[in-house]
Amino acid sequence: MKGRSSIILGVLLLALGARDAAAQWNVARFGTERSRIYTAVGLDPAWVTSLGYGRVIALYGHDFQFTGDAGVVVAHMDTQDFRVRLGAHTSLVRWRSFHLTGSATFITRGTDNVIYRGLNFGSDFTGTLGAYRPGWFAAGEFGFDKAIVTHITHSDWYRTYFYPDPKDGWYIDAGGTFHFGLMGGVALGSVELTGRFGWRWTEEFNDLMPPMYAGVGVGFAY
Amino acid sequence: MRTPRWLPLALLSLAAAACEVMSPGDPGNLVPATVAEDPSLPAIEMNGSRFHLQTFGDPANPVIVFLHGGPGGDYRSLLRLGQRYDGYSLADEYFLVYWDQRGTGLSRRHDKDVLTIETYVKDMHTLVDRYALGQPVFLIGESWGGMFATRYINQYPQRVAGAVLIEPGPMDGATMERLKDGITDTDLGSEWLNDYSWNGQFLSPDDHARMDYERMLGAKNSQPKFHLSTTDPSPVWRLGAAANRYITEDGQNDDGVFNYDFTTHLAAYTTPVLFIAGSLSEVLGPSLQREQVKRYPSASLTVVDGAGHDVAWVKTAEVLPHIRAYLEARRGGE
Repeated sequence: MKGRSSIILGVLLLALGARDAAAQWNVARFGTERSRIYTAVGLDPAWVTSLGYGRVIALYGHDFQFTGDAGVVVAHMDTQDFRVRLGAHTSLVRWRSFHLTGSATFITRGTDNVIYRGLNFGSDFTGTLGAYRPGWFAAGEFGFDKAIVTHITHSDWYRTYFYPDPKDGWYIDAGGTFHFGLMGGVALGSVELTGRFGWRWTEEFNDLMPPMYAGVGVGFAY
Repeated sequence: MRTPRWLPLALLSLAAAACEVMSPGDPGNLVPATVAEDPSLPAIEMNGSRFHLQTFGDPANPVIVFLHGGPGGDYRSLLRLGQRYDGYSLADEYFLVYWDQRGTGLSRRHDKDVLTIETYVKDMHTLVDRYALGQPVFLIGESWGGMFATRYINQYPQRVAGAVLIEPGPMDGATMERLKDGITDTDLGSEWLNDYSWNGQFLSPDDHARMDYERMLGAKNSQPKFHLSTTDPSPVWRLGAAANRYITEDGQNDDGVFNYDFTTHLAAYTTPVLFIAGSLSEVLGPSLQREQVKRYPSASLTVVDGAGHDVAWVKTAEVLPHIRAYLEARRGGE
C-alpha cells in the first residue's frame, strides 16, 4: 500500500503542475522584469530540484531571456544525478495577448547508478502557444529533448555479476524524448509562480517511466 | 585570410572521435549478444525461434527441465543447482536441460505477437518431446519458473513425473492482485526508481537492447522484500524486457487486472510436489507458499533458513539435498 500511496501522492503533485527551464517563464514580463533567479522542483523525470538565473536581453527586436540552471535528483540527494542547462526563450509571434514562443536549451546531464556512470550532452527545443498577460499566463507546450551523445562507463558490479564485456565509451543517438503538456503561472509583485505538467514519450513514441512530468517553480524578478 | 594552424588538427580529432562513437542497439555493446547474433552460443531451433540451451549428463537418464524466473530472467541463476556439492551433482543421475525461455537471456528476441503464455507452453511441450522421448520429465522451476511449471502441469500432467517449485509466484490472478504491490518497490522517492526514471534521458527504451539494459537498473534494489543477496547476487545474462512485459500482460484483462489461473486442473495431479522457500523472503516466501502447497493434492514445503527469494542461488548446498531426496523418492515410487 505504501507504493500505491506514493503513486497517488505523485499524481496529486502532478496536478499542481518545471521542465525546460527556459520555457517556463512569462514572456509578457520580459519587457519589465529583466532579471530573475528561480528555483523549481518536480518529477522531471526523476524528482529534481534546480536553481537558476535568467537575464532578458534585446536582440534583433526581440526580448530573449537567457537562462542557466543546475539541478540534482533529490531522492537520497544523489548529486551524481545532475543536470546543467543553458537556454534562450523568446516570443516568436504575437497577436494581442497570445504568443507563440520558442526556446532552445543546451543540456549537460550526469548519472551514476548500479550499472553505469553516464555523461550526456543534449538539447531541448520547445514551443509554447498561449495567453501571456503581465499578471498571469497559461499555455500549451510541445518539445523534444535529444540526448545527442552519451559517454557510458559500466560499473564493476554490472561487469562482475552480469555482463563482463559491455563497451565503455561514447554512444551517439542513444535517446530522445517528446513532451507535451500545459503550463501556467501567476505574478505576485516580483514573485512569479509557475507550474506545469504533461506527458512524455520516447522519440519513437514508446512509453517512458514515468509517463508524465510535473513541477512547480518560483522566481524572483528584479 | 590564414587558416589557424590548430584547425586541421582539431577537425581530425573531432573526426576520429566521431568514428569511435557506438550505437546502443548493436549486439554486445550494452547487453550480451543473443543466439541470433552469436552463432558460437549453444542453441536449438524450435517452434520458429532460436533458444539458448545447454544440457548436462547422460541423455539416457531421467530428464530434469529447469524453468528460470522472470518472466524475462534466464537460466544462469539456476546453474549452481547443476554443479557438484559434497561430491554429488544432479548430472550424475539425471539429464539436465537448461534453456532460456522465448525472448529471454541469450535466446532470440521477439516482439509482442509471439510472447504469450500459450506460446511458452508450446515451447515447453516441444522441448519435453525433444529431450524426454515420450517419457515424463522432472521440472525444477524458480519464481516465475514455478508458475510456468504449474501452468504446464495444469495442461500436461501426464508429462511431468514430479516438480520442485522454488518460491513460485502467485498461481492465480487474484493472489497476484493481492500481492503485486509488494513485489516491486514503487515508492517514488526510492533511489532505484529515480535512477530508472533519470536513465530515460540518456538511453531511451527504443530498441530491445536499450529496453533490456534499462531493466538491469532494477536488478539490485527494486525488490527489497525479496531480501536478495547484494554480495552474491543471483546473476542473469540479460533481462528480457519485452518478454517480461508481454507475458505479464498476457495474464491480465484489458483493464490490467490479473485474471490468469494456472490451477484449474491441479486437483487431478496427485504426484507429490516439493515447494522450497527462503525464510527471509517476504512476499513470495513461506507465507505465500503455505497457501500454494494446498493447490496441489500432494505437496510439501521446505523452508531454508537465512535466505531470501534467491534461496536456490545463495543456499545451493542446503537446497540441493532436499531436491535430491525428493527426486530419489519419486523415482523409487515409480
